[in-house]
Amino acid sequence: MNYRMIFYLLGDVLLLLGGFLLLPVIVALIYGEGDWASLLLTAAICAVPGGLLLLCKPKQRRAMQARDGFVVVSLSWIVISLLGALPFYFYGATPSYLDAVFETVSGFSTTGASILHNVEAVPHGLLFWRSFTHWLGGMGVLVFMLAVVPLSGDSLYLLKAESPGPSVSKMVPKMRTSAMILYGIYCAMTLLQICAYQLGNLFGWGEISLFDSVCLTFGSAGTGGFAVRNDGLASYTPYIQSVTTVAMILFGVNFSIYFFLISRKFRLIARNSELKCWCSCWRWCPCPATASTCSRPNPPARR
Amino acid sequence: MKIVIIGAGKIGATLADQLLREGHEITVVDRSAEALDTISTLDVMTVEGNGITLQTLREAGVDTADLAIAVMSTDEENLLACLIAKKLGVGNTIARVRNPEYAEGIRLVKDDLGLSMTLNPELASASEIARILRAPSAIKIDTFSKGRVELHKVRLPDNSPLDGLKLLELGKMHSGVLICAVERGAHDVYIPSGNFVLKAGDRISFVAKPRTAAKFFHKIGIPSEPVKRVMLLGGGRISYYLARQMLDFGASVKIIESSAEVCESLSERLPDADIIHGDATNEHLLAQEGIEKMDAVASLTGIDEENVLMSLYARSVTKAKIVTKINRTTFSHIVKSMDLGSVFHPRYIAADHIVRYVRAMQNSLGSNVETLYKIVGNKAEALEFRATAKSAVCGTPLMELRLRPDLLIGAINRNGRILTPSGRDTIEPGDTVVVVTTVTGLNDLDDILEKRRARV
Repeated sequence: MNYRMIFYLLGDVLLLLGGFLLLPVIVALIYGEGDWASLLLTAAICAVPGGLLLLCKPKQRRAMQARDGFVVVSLSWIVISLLGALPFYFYGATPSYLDAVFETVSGFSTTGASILHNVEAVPHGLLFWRSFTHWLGGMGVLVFMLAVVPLSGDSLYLLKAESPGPSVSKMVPKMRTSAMILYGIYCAMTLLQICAYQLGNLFGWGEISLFDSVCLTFGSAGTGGFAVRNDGLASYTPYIQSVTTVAMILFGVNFSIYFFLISRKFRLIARNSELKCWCSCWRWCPCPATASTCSRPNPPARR
Repeated sequence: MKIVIIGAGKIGATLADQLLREGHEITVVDRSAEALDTISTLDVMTVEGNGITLQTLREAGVDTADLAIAVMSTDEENLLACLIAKKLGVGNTIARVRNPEYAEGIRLVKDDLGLSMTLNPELASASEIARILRAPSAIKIDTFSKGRVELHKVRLPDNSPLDGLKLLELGKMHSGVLICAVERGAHDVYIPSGNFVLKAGDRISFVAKPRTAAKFFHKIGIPSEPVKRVMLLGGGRISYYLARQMLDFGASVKIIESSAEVCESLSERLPDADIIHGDATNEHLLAQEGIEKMDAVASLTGIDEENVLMSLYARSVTKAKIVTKINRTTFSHIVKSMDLGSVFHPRYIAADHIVRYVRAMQNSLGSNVETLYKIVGNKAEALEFRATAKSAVCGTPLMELRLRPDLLIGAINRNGRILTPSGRDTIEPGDTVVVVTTVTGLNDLDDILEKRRARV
């Protein structure tokens, strides 16, 4: 086992997590609810050991084996879940640290289960972080790392361990470019969904704040489902709900399809059995759901 | 560059590995998922499917690739795949064509087929072995201008007359060689000027014509008798090509082969060689056929273990130059630790040829590089340029050109005649020029000039 390599990569993951935590810190500062301290403290807790672990830079890089890849991937999921829970615990948003861990694991694994009864009582910075874990977990922190951190060819083992199934399907020959393309598509679709929500504001199809639209987008992009209101989506207008539904379907599609779409390989899309199966599911299921949504009167505007 | 390799066999896998290390984007196509699985540890894209079908080739992105390399099992498949790939719009194609009977026909239609290069791994291996047998003391030999110019690398022995000699004085010996790079110690590389003093233990690279090189070896006290009697153990394709080249060189060749059928066909095709039907692992047979008196013994059977044993045996009974062919690339440190003479891995040789082509291709995108070698452990490059009428260097005597300091002109090839350049020589349009330099990234002959300072 190549311990130096494992620690070095974990250091990378920790630094990355620290960097990601700065985003909710900004949100917390904007809303001024006092949760920024707990977030910033966690970022520091991630960054310091992360930086120290980078000192373990392995001497020779071509020594990583498949099992090292598995260890790095599993360890980093555990570590980011444990550390990502700290802000909730420090602020006291959850009754105990264990609950905070539950919430974070649910976030990073895009499960969407929550122990919070009163979501609206949680300050905005923490709520943003909670939804952001969905977004990060949706594509995988390690894939992001592969896209941004220049690693040697051995990092293929990381992708292999990270991806479900025995074989890694790549869209372009270079793994790093593949990871970049994946995140590019992910980010673009995220932005599109936020814009779609904002159109509702523009044309009066339903009011939604920028904060809500970003958090809801994170929830549907990661196919997780954390909402920022106690009643979930129920109190939004049908337009907002429809945008969310469509987005959820689109984010559920295998991202290779979008790459084929961009690179105009339509024949490969037509042959894709996974897509066929996914579409046939949605051909029938949404009908009753849409009908029930549309027949309901608009809920009273909340303020 | 984007490169599609069709066929994930031995050479395909080796190529993928080596080209990947040079930073190219590689896609590998093969019919068998298991073959693709063996290269799953490489950062390449794999496409499962028949590499001759349009659909698979499109899926592999041949239409946007810069180079397609077909290394499937049969020549016909490779040619067809290259033909289709070319039609789909790939920039260059390389096909592995083994059958020597096709060689002439393919040369005839090569341009029509749009083939950039054909590769015969066995012929390439045989040529490399033959080069070493002709100058057994060289560490490494690279060739330019279709073999008319050679770049030799040798280690100066302790009692060499060159020890302590200035290069200027060497010039007076009229040796016809040009020392273009000197490695000293573990790290130092020099492109020497006239005042450079050689030391024993230096590893010198010099440019010369093949015949001149042999004379030079003699002069500087390195025993370099080209081999006269060669024994080849095993009668496969490499043996056949090697025997032909050694016979052309004037050596006597003895081939020992265990299959009667192969022996008959060899004796028909090589009337001047002695073909012995027998088991090359039989000690008595080897002794009977005079292995002690041979100048060179090459173990070339298809079984690595036999080759190793026979070479070790040959080493114990003779002082001949030993050549061992090893197919397997694993256990390389074991192979290195045994005294097997010059060890050749045919698949590395084949892959090297293609890698060299790819480098030259990459270097020549918009330039006129003909050949490129990385020499002295990748610290220097030897390039061959073709001079065009537009080149700024043409027509001016070399001594009046303002050349870059870390660069040397090794040879000028004018219509097949090789000039060892002196200050009064000029470069003329149509010449090819061999340049040795520690600067990387020379793309054009004009790059050998010192960059003119921008005038205000």
